[in-house]
This record gives sequence, structure tokens and C-alpha cells, in this order.
Amino acid sequence: MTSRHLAAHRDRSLRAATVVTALLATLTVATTTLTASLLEIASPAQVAVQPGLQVARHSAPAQLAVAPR
Amino acid sequence: MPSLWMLVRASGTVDIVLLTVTVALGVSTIGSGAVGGAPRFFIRHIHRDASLLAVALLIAHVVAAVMLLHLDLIPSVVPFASHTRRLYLGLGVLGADLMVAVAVTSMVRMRLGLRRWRWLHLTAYLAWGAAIVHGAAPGTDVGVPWVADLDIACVLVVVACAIVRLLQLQRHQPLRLLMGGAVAALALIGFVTWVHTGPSTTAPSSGPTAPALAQLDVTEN
Repeated sequence: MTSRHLAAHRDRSLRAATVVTALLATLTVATTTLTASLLEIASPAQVAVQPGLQVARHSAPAQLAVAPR
Repeated sequence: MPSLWMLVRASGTVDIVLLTVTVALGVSTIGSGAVGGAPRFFIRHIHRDASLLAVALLIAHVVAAVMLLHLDLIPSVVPFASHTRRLYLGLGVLGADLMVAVAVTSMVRMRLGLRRWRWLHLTAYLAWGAAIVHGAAPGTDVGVPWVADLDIACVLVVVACAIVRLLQLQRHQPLRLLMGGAVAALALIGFVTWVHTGPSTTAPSSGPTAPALAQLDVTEN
């Protein structure tokens, strides 16, 4: 392989790396949005609770279950 | 602010995956020769870009958390300085600090010298480990089955990459191979056990209280 071939090969690889990076960036934005949507529809008993609101969301269902008695 | 809270959680979850990709690519480029038929510089290029993306997402994660929780400057940048969730939040801060340090030292590695930079770059493993534990800690979304599975998959990917690379580089050292395999298996088993037993209990043990219902009305509306 001549140096010209090597340079062309290197250029192609760098271009491919740039495309992969762009794909990765797009994928990151898309998966962040998707993750937010999935976490939004997850069961409230399983998800993380915002600090400060911890007591309200976790103990309230228990309170509701107890209340009719 | 539910959207900010969602950004904190989603960016953290995706950042762990990005960090895992970065570490896996980094592990794959240890040593010499082509990586799976691809030229080494190609993998390094993607490794660098993935790490920069991970740092960008980390900044979004930290800024959103600081804005949401009104954290002071010191607990946001100094590990284990927070009064709430000291250990797990501290691990997150430690991981973030190390990630930024690794990124900065990589930018000036020619000035640092390759040998010194390589030693500093090893802290990336510590940053990744701290991020994984922070992400799977009690009080996070690890109670959601697919989040727990994602955390385990991240550990599995890095352990698999490390074993494959170890097999390629240390194939003439059976004792080292055996030790590496044992450590990797123990780490994986320990993490899976911890995720399935330790952090899943997000609900507090305290019983129902009257103010809880009142607070529910406020928070849910």
C-alpha cells in the first residue's frame, strides 16, 4: 500500500468516525427524551422521588389503604 | 418543577450508558494492533467523542440537580460534603470530578507526558464505578426493573470488554488471567446481588401520617 493509499484510508476512517460521533450525539438526545418518557409512565412506587416530596408520594397510598377502616 | 426533575433522572441514566460506552471503547484500545478490524485511531476518535458527550450530559445532570435542589457550591463540587445522602451523592460528585479531571488532563496530555497522563487516566475506572453505584443507589430509579437491568448490563459490558482484552494481552500468563476472571466474576455477582437486594427499597419504613395526605394534595395537584 502506498502512502497515498494510506492517506486515503485514513481520511475515510476519520470521516466514518465523524459520522459515528454525529449518530452517537443524535442517539444520546433521542434516548434521553425516551428515558424521560419511560420514567414518567413507570410505577410511582418504583421511581425515584424528588427530595422534599419523599413523604408525600410514598406514604400516601398506605394512608389511603388504611383510611376506610 | 417536574421537567427539571425528569431531566436530572433521564440525563443521569443515559450518562451511565455513555460512560460505559466510553470505558468499553477505552478498554478495547489498550495495547496494540487493530480492534475488531477497525484501525486503532478510529476507536480512539470515537472514545474521545463519546467521553466529551458524556461530560456534556454530566454538566446538564449536575446543573439541573443544583437548580432543582438549590444545592450550595461546596456539596456540588466537593465529594461527601453534602448533609443529605452523603455517601451516594458523594460518590456521584466524586465520579463527576474525576470525569472532568480525566477530560481536562486528556486535553493537555502532551504537556503532562504520556506516562503521567496514563496513570491519571486510570482514575476513569474509578469515576465509572462511582457513577454506577451512584446511579443504582437507594432512592434512585433502580426500583424500575429496566433501569436495574440497564445498570447490570453496563457492568456486564465493561467486565466482558476487560476479559476479552485480558485474554488477548495476557494469554501467556494463566495465573493473571485466572485472577482477572475471578475479580471480574466477583464484581459482577456482587453488583447484581446489591442491585436486587440493597437499593430497591425506596419506600421509607415510617407509617402513614396525617400530614402525608395533606402533602399529597399539594404535590399531586
